[in-house]
Amino acid sequence: MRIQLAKQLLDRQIVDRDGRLVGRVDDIAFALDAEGFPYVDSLLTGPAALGERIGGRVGRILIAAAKLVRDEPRVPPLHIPLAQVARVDSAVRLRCSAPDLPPSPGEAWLRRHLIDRIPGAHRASG
Amino acid sequence: MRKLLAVTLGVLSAIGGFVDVGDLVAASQAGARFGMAHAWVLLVGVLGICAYAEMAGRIAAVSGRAVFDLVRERLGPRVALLNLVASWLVTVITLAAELGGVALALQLASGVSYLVWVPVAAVAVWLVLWRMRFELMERIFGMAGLSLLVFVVALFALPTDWAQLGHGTLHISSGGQGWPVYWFVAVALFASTVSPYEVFFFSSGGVEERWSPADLAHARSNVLIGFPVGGFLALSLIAVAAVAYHPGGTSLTTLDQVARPVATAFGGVGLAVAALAFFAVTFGAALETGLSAAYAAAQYFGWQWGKRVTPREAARFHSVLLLSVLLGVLLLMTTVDPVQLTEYMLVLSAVVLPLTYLPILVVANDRGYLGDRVNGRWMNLLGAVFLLVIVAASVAAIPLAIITGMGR
Amino acid sequence: MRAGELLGRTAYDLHGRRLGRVVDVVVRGGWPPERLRITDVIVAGHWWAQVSGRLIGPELHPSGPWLLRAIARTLGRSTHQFPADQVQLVPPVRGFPFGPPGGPG
Repeated sequence: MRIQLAKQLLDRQIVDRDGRLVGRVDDIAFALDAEGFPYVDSLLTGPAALGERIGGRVGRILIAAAKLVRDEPRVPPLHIPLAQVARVDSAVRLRCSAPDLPPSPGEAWLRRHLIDRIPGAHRASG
Repeated sequence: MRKLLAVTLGVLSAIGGFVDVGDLVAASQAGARFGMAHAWVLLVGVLGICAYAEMAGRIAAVSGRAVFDLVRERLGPRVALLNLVASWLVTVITLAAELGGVALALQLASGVSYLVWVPVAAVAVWLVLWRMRFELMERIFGMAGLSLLVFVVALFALPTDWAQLGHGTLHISSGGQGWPVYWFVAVALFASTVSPYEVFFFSSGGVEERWSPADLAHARSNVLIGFPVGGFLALSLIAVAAVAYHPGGTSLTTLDQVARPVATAFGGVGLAVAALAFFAVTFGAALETGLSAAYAAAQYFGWQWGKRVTPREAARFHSVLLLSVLLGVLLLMTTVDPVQLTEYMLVLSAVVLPLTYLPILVVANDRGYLGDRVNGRWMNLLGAVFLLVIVAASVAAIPLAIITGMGR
Repeated sequence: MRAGELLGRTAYDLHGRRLGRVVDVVVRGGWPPERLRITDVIVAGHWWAQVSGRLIGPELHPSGPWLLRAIARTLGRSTHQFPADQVQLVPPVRGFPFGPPGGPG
């Protein structure tokens, strides 16, 4: 199988087993195998990965903005091992379910400090 | 009736784009200054937005990807971020203008200053975004927006010279105002008919309604009925203003001047219906722009979005929604004129138009997304021609705005 | 090493001739269960190819309309694929094992 990373994998939406949106493929991490060849190890998602990929001042602003909405000062991007990927079409579809993955710190922070405090946050409007 | 209810997503998308608060005034202004000489612009704009909304709806139905997904996937993180920042700013400032429009409609109906109504309008809009079911929202405000048909009815009550209207449509003249001004107004009208937030909203609405390939016919009828209906309403605004104000050359800058011909035709009842129509279309446009701003941001970053899930599951999406509404209120509280605000936004949005429409056209030809449902030859021809028009408008927007001093 | 570090680097051949900028990375393998190894890089001579390549790359539309194919061909004329071990990147990327052992010359 031949995959062109920028064209077919990077920036695609990551969707879990049940159709929940997990994030975007903000970057791809490689590892070296026993013979010294680099191979695709995991998909990265999160503002830290995106900011580093964009780079420059814009990337730094993005990372700084993400720091405003979380408690922990340093959060590494979420690594999704390639083995968790079931298939890739118009989105990257995972075998696992989103609650099994570490939660996004920004989402958790905003949920705790803002959205959960508004009445009706637990009911979908549909 | 059931047929009409099925196409309210298209109707609401179109109303928010073509006859929102800025266009109520801009279209009427065009009619007052140039008669029917801009009717063709609306026709071209509606044809183009139909083509692109059809592609965006098809992509949403088949692959489940909304428009800003495509922008990020096809343009990469940097260029897409530029588009996101520009589109978000334009959409939020338009949202501010729509909130102002809702308040102005309430002022027209009650006589109490619009600044009092702004917070009320903002809370009402936010409550609908927070609680109301997507389909219900789209039906109520899509249908209510049709009360703008009172302008069509008014055409029959006013002493309309139909032959002259038809003549003005076909024989284009700059009405003694100079061609640069004519073209500036043309670009502004065009940009409003193809505002990017219409396709953001339409395609994301398709995903919210869980369109599947089985719904393609449904998507298509939304496009083919909804958008032309919106265009027809905008055309009736131009025509009414042309009949009432052209060629007297009255300058037309406020909502009550827009409503005056209807009041002349039907008295107090007419004014009340017009105020209701203004309320409905601006409220609908406020919902559309607010949601579009949040959809674009959530799709760029890949966050969970939409009204299907509980707000706490889409906390970042709902936070952006809340932030957008708050920013809109703050902007209005500076007592800036909401109508004038949209004029500037149209120029800015014209400049970034290609960054939204090019990815749609490209993905509509991508079998990885659409399988056998890729564009046919005629659709591609239409899309390509229209893309050239968009690029021309986007290149001409700023020079024209400078030469004519925003069309004065 | 990340994909974002490879994209946009300037690529030279092993004799030090400039090839262009890296616009894409090709991986191959029988995934799953095998690993997807980097085998080639795609290099473009023009600055705009980074965006235009992923927008309308020639191979994305084998049956697309002729106009799009023609545009893709024109835009992609300066775009070539090279085996990864025939390419060195400047500035070097840590973890990219290809190129001469002495580093870029």
